[in-house]
Amino acid sequence: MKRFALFLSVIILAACSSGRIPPEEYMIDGSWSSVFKAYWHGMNDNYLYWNLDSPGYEWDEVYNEYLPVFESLGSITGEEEKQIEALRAFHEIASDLSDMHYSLAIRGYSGLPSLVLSSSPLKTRMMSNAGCTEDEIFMASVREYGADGKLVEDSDFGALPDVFERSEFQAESPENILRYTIGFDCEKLADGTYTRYFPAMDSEYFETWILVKNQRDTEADTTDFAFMGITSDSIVYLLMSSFMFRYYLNNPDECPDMLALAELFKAKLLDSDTSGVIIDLRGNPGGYSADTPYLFGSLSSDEFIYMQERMKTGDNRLDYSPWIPLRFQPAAETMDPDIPIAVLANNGSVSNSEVLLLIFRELQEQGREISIIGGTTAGAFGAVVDDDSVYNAGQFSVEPFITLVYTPSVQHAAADGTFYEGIGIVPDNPIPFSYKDFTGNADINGNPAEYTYDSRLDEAFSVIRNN
Amino acid sequence: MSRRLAAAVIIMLLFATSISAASLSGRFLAGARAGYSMSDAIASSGYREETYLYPFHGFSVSIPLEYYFTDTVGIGTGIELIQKGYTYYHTYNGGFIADAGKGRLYLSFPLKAVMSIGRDDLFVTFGAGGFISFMLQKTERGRIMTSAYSQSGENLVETYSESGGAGEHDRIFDAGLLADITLSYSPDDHLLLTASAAASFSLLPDEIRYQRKQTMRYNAALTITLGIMYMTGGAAE
Repeated sequence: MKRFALFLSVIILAACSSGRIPPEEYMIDGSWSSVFKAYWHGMNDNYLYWNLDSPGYEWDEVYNEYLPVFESLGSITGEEEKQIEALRAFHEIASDLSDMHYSLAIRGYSGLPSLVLSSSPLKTRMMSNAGCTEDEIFMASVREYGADGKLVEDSDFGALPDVFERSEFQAESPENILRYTIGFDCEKLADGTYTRYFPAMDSEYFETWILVKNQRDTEADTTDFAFMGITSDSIVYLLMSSFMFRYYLNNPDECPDMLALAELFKAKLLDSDTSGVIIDLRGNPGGYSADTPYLFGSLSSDEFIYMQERMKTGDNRLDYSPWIPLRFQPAAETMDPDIPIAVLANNGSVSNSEVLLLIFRELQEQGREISIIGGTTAGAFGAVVDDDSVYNAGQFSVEPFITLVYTPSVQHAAADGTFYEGIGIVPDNPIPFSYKDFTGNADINGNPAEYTYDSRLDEAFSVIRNN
Repeated sequence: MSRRLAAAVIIMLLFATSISAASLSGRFLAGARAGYSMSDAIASSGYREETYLYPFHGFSVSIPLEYYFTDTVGIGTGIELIQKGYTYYHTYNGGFIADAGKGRLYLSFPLKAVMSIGRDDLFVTFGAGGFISFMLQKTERGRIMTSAYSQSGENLVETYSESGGAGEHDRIFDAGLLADITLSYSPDDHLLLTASAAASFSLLPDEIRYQRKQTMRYNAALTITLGIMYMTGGAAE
């Protein structure tokens, strides 16, 4: 009986044990192979998309294939050729991943001068689609820092090929839409007004408009803007640099104008005079997912499932929870369901932009007049959480070399189970992107264009007006 | 068999035959048992901080069969439907993240040696042996904090329940060791009312190996059941 009691005690003790001893695989000893092992194990424990990238032994095969490569590089000495060889190998591994949020920031040397890789499968795919070569993509993914710690300006590294600069992904950004389509350069003048890209031109589209721009106090490298315009026939248009309103709700004194714009937009959704709504998500990189119920809670009076998500519940690569339904959270008041909505998207519409599109897709299923116009989105779903301990997966770093592996903690799929990661949402009304029309070839002439044509926004207005 | 184990078996047999025994020789017992199962996962490596594995509460229903060669020694088998699994509980900075019962339903076939001691109307049976089992269903029920937000900006907590067949990496066939003890009361020559406690331990992890550095989880279960059995054959006939 004592033995039986001992047996049970062992079971109970083993079952109650938790907590993690820092794995020795994460220790970097100054060799390239130790950096690779730290990266491989960090990925093994923290990456989320193994259902796509390693349903079997694929990630183990990466270990077997690349460990000899890094072992052959020996110690990390700062020698540039070795840095390039090592960073190129890391870039190859990262580029093949399916997670479109993913980026790997890794230093080639802990001292200076140094090369730093910032590799992203999404950027690699977009550059490849634009016609860039593998070498151009690698060179564009590396930054060179000099002995003074500053970015080397005339370096061969970091340059983006023109063909990529002119691509939809790079050119059709919120900043460029504001500039070329709406006409603001977005530089705030002393009198509180903004510089105009078209100085002699009143806005072609909008009778009244509000533009708010703010550089965040707590995140100095982040500049937000939001633009809302209203046409003479009461079509409401919204363009945001990202989903950032939750930040201003959490910091209400920092930029009250930003919140005032959001509240005005919400009021316009409920206004019976509004004849249509255009939400411009082109180039929107996502942001606070809490912005979705805050801004768009009036779209429906009903809770409905718009998406599913799952997390890791263990350290094994495929230790997933079941798919959990996410429900639309209606606001207290509901907009008139007969008001037509047009949503603009492109391959720079990422993350929360795509989540919002899934909400619009579900509303379409319910019979709402909603058109998605433009280009196919990036296919970067999932929620990024600051700490990988929250959901047993997500971003991590192993200092001093692996500065950041940026990757989501939560996977998303559509309500019907369709997995759009790396695929994106195809618009109802695809309109090809023309760099020449969009910018008026402004950078080629060296002067601001006199005329630009945003065919996608024009189509959105046509759809609303012909509804 | 080691010398020490052989000695222990002989001593137990001598002990069993030296005390009073029920008249079980040549008897065949069949019946039904049902009750509660408590199980847990024994993991081969640690989980992250603030992750806890707790027992999973399920059920056990079985049709036990026993045959006695002598008044004290026999063999037992049968068929059992048993839920095993574990409960996963996870917090972050003390705040709730997830609470999920991860259960598996097995059809299990035990094979064990049994030894009974006691009187005709009240006796105790010890059993020890092994089992093989076949996974029928996987269930997961729980609550989890999602990445979606309410109107007031708080994370939404969803309750979920999912069941289905085995996944690609689930181990369908399991095998392990078991030990049990049963108290039997016999109101007449044929009927037995039983109360049993059994412990089982899987020798195979619940998933097949599919990666380096894989955390392996082994089922351990304790069941408490009540039952009724019918005796036939032997001295009573």
